[in-house]
Amino acid sequence: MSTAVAVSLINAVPSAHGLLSRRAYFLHWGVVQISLANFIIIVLMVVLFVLALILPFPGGKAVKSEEKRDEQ
Amino acid sequence: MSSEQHATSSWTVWLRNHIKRTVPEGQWLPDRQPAYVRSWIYVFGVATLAAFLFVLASGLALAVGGAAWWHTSRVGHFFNSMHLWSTELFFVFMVIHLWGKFFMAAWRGKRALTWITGAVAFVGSIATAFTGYLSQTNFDSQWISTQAKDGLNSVGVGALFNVLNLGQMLLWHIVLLPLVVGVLVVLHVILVRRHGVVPPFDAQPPEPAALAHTELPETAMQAPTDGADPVQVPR
Repeated sequence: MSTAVAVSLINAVPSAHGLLSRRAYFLHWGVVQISLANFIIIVLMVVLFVLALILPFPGGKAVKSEEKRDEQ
Repeated sequence: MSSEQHATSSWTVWLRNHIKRTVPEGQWLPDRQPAYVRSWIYVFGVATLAAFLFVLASGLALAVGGAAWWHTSRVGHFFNSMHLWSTELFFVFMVIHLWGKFFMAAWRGKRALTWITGAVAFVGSIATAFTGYLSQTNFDSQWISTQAKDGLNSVGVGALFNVLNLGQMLLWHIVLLPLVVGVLVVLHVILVRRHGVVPPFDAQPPEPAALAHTELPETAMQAPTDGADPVQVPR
């Protein structure tokens, strides 16, 4: 096998991954390191958690009217 | 043996009575929930369950074509992507569900076993997901399996199973571990239905008159065992 063929085969390996072959960007804080993608997902999960606690659940008015009807 | 004695000694009668005692009728698929359930934080448990069903359905479709199907077929690739993203959502919803229940101290009111089954199901899900990485049949799975092999050998469990064995890991991923997680999820849901969803810390017990007005059957849902017992509202 010629060197040129070997190089082309080696180059073909990362291209087989497509998007996954791109180098991941990592964040570093001392001993802690995390990929940017994972960090963004965790931040989004925390945001979702906080929103779930503070956003009103739909149908609140309907419940109040039902409660009033029950009281009557 | 009289017919009455025969009925009481029958295993079917025993099982029926046992099921009735475990989760009384009306608690399996209730049409009323405590008022505090009207919060988004209570949605993530059932969202996890819905994502889990998608994981199972897409996994069944992938099983038809085999582990390497998704490399050569657009349909296979679609189901593989569906399996991946439903798993991602499964974990996102499950972790938010875990956070919500942790800060609510959801083990209150004799719900320790509910908490434990949920926690063990979470760990089992991680193991199932790891074996899923090993079943991709690509360079990623090769890399991950060799790294996992070193890690598992370093903690002394490498002799019990072989992460480099695709056949073993694939069977673990599609039979053994889903069975374990599935049984734990079913137990978890049964326990949730038996004891009811955990009330918030500030849930106010209802007035005795209000309880009399509702005329509800004596179920765990309306009477959390830790004393907090808000008035129920129809959903």
